[in-house]
Amino acid sequence: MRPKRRAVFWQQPARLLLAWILAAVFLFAAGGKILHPQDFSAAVANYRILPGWLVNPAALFLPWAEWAAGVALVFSGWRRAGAWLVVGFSSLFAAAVLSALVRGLDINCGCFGPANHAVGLSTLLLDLGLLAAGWLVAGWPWPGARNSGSSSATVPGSGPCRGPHP
Amino acid sequence: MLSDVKKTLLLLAAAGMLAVGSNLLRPDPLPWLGRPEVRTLAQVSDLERLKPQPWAWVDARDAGAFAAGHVAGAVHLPARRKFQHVGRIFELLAPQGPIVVYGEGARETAGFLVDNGYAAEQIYIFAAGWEGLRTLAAVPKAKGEQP
Repeated sequence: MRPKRRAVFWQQPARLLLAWILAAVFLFAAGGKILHPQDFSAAVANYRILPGWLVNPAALFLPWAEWAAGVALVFSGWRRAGAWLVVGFSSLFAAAVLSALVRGLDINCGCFGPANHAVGLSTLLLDLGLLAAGWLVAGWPWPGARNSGSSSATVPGSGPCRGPHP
Repeated sequence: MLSDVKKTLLLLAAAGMLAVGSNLLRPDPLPWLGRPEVRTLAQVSDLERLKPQPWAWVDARDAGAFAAGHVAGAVHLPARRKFQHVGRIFELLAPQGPIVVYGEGARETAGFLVDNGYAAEQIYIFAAGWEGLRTLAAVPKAKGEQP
């Protein structure tokens, strides 16, 4: 029989800190794009992934979705939902960056608004780091974390919750 | 209690509404579909009709191809090395007037110009590229690297 994994005392604070860092990154990234939609639209178009008619809708929607994820990460009841959005968007961005690298495109990554930062390995690593952090905040590998996003009621050392609360 | 899936969908719906609302309130809203496209000059005759003249030339090819021959006065902004020119792009290329980009990677370089503040409406891609230009007697040519 496999021994039960135990949540340890540092997991909750570490997860909270990670969530706040992610929130700051996503809110900062969203701000630049919301303020400069034309620049972000050009950045999206340069990836040459979306058909032309979808470029502007994506450029309008994505920054606000990032903003919503950032705000959700701040509130305990919405943290897991925000973290799943981070996982989704980071996967999407990592795939786009990887595709640009494979095609040899020398383009602005569009990661943080109008600032010029060329797509490169560092961009891919950043996206993968955000993906991993989002996954950790969503609570996947940590025992006891599954229910703590909305209730924050994990008792250190209590182990995974597999049934209804008494 | 809402499930995570429902909350995630609610966040996405809220983002959609905020995107629509913010664009409606913006003094210079983004068109809802598509984006201002850089236009393409398919033929030499399209080039001759381009007003106002003279226009600025941008060569998007690699250094070797540029040195071997280019339009005289063309700004060399190679598609694969264009980020090297970010700092002095406005020195190299006036912000007003039509700009014709030619050569392999022209679309990418044109996108880069739009990224850096040039209006999509002022940029044209010459589809026939350098091969289409080298035989045109009316277009002066030069050799060597960009000073």
